[in-house]
Amino acid sequence: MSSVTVDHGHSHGHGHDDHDHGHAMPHGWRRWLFATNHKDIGTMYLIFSFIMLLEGGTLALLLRTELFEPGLQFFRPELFNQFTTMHGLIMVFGAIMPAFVGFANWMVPLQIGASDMAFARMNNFSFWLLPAAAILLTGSFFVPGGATAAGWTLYAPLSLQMGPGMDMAIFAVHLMGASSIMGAINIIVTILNMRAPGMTLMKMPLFCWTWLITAYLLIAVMPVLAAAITMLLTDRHFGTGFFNAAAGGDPVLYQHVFWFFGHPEVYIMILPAFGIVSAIVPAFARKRLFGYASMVYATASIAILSFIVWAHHMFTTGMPVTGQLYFMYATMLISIPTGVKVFNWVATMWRGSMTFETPMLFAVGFIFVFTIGGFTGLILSLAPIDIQVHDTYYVVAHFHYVLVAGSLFALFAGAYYWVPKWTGRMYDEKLGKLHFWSTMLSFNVTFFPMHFLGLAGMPRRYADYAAQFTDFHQVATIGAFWFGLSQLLFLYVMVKCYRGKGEVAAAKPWDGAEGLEWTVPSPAPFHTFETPPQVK
Amino acid sequence: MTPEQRRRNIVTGLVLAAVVLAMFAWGIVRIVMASPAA
Repeated sequence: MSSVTVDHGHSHGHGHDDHDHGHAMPHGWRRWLFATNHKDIGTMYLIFSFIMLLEGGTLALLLRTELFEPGLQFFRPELFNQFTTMHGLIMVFGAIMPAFVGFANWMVPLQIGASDMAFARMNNFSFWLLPAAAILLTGSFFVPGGATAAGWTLYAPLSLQMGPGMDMAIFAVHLMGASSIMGAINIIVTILNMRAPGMTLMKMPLFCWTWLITAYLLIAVMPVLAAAITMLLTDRHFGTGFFNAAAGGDPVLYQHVFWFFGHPEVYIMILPAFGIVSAIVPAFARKRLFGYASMVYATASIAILSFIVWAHHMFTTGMPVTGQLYFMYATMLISIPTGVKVFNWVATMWRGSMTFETPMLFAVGFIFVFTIGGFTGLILSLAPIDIQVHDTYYVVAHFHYVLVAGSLFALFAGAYYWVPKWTGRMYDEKLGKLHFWSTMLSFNVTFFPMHFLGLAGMPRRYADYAAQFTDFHQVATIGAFWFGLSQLLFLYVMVKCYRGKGEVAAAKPWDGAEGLEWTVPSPAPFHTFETPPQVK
Repeated sequence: MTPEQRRRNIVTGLVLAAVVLAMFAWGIVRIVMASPAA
């Protein structure tokens, strides 16, 4: 990646910006509703995902409010379970995944020297399916019986028994799945067919590599999820009995099919994060990324392994010991390519000229805290331990270390790193650093005690608990409100940049940064690379 | 985008769409075959 250089000879890099006048840029609401420009669609994805982050976060705070004290204070248990379920669905499908697609829309064409995504109109459709899905999900709270309360996994037989809120969730997941599939096809085709001359695959920035592999994961597993929830729908309304034991079906079958999607889904949400961190660490260590090729192969290895470990989510459903051993050892194997990545990031920083601007703080924070989540994942992969802590707060702690300190921290890192390119303004460094430290501390105050709660036997998805769990729950609730409020700081910093306040950003504001995106002005013009750059 | 590039994009897109349909069908076949009700 770091060998990428650009031949400015033909047009001083961006002489083609004059095209802005040639193709009239649409104005007003048409610009957004009929958007085909990858930057506009990327911006819409990012704004949408942040709104969903706030909605999912608000639900999380409602959960933490109820859990501040034992007993039931604010919500009926049924409503609590609706909050739990919708928090999960909204965060996974509405916040984290669309945020990464937003980054891909903005950065992949800029990083490979393409003028836009391969299928610009399909790109528009991919995005506009999402608000429809969000309305379905949010609206399901207001139908008889309320929203689905089966957990984000929508396990049968519970999901066969609920009201119309469940059907709305099924349709919403269908829509978001279709959106992801179209987004994935678009990214694969763009990367395979539209790279600038000289941009060979092994010169591509790692963010593009990780997204290429993620997109393959998406087209392989989203249809499988669609199949599973379609059959939930036919079980609910059309007389089939695939997952209904009373009709001769098997609820465990649903779990197998769901997790065939669900485990690769975990990597769909973390591989692009690896790509962002792999861009930022070299930039602020002012060194080439250590082990570029091994990073690519490690990413591919993680993706392949993700298909053969699904039943480690199901150790307690009853399976032969040989099955447990297989899924245990296969899962442990994933730590090897992941370890390669962590090693490479640390080796990149080793003896580098490091500075700690906000993107780097979030990237280094990611490496520290994500690795804790990785280690608890390794602990959970051990079948004898997993059987003890299955469905406890230990698992909740584990996946929040991976999804918040992993995916979300990387998204923050990427937002601070590329916001000068998006808006043409530098963010407020002091506030950025305050956001980082506030987020980092409050995250750990919230989720670290959950390890202790889980080990002590506190089950997940419960509105009430025994009195001995009170102290840790209260610490977690205080941390959660602190964490939630910290994100308003992020909103303020970003809105300030978008409103054109703050120091004007240079084309390449980070002296250690490399890649084609820094060869265009900041903010990136509406049309870029209409004449493909020559990559040496 | 050149016409040649557009043609290649469409061919690649259709191949990937076929993969998607195949995975969807595989998911359904897997459930139907494994379901005792079938």
